[in-house]
Amino acid sequence: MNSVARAVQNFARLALNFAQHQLSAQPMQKTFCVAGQNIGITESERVALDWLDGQFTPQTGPVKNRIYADYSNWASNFAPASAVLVGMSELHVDEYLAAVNLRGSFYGPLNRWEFFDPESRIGIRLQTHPSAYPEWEPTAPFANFLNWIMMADGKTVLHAATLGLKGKGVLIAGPGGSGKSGTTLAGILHGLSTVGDDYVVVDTAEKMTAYPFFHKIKQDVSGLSRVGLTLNSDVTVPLNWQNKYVFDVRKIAPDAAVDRLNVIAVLLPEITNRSNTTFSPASAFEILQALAPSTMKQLGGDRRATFRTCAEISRNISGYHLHLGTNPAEISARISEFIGKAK
Amino acid sequence: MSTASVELNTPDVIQEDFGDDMVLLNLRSGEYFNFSERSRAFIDAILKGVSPAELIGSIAEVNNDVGKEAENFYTLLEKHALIRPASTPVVPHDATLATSILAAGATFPFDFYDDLSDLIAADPIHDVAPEAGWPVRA
Repeated sequence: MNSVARAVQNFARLALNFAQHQLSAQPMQKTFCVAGQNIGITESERVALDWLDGQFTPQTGPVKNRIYADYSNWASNFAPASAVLVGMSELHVDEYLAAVNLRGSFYGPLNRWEFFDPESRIGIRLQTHPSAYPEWEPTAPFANFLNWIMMADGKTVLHAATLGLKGKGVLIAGPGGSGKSGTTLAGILHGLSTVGDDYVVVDTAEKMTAYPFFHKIKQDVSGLSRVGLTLNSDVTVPLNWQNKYVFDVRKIAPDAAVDRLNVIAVLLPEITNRSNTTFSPASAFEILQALAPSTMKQLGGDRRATFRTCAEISRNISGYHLHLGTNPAEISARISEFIGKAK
Repeated sequence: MSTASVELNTPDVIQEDFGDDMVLLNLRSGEYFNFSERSRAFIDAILKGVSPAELIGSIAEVNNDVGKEAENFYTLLEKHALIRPASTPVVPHDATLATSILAAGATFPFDFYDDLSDLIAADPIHDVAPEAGWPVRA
């Protein structure tokens, strides 16, 4: 292992000791539950706690996972010097930390480090200033930690949407702009259920099961318009960093949010502008291509493990191209038929 | 070309099999590859210890043009750092291996994808100014 790896590993251990000390001295300020894992957050200053509201289910039991977020620039005294880090990539950070069974991420533009120890279930965010957070943080708060906690619990977070019917459901995967969120919105407005439109927690043990990650869904104005929604007091909230509205699915479809779905297939949407929605088989490699790259890009942590898990899912589940029609009700009806036919 | 055996360039390269296809991901470059038909059969053979040089020779004896295709394909495997020389002994093969590789398909497809490469290429940590104390975008 080279000197950069040792520097990153030593810094991670130091930071996690600091977190342990701070967490033993300060109370949890917010607790919640994601896919059965209870999580507690403590911040050195109140920054991200409000972003957690409405995103998760309430705490259901003892808190096993604790995260400390430091905004005091503590890291500036201890982090490896920049000269040491030149040439280091995100994948290197994964690798260096995985070698000592830790998880971590470094976001260079804001000098933000995050570490997590899967053994102790303690994590720390080291941010240089309360306002020095990435633009996606308010709508996806603590995403890396939640991913690492899920991995420690044997689950995987995927960049995918979901639709379901009577407990059975499909993952909807593909690159940005392929129609994931629009398809989800069309479905929930016409009687289907969902556990999320962007990220989803997947448990591959026995039956593949999907659980909610974040409870809110997002869509731009034109996407809302396509499914017949107009902005009103229920959905007019500030635009996120992608110029999309972020809102609670229960605001527009009170019965659509469910807490789990048994996954029967992966659908790969394509906008075709045809009148009817159709399906055609997709290969295991096409499923992998839809799931792995975007998940690996968007979520930090052990990307090697993420790729392996995406490959396992791709091998073990059916995949179909979803050639989207233009009528949201028709799209939903076809997906409903598809799920209904599955055994 | 060496007549020695080769192996997968682990741990940088991850292999996943999907029936008739083999996917290799190079975590150093972010590139990933889908091999099928003759490509899959050729890689299977060399990862079992058959000498690439000897195998290409055997294929060329059956069909010289296909032998050249196999050589080009092998050069790409090396260029993308998917394989490396191994210290294990070469596994002997007979002429049926070359004919079975030809029968596996019509071409040596080399399908590669670089949509993960920006995890490396656009890495925020790469272009930094060391004298700034903390990494900043150069």
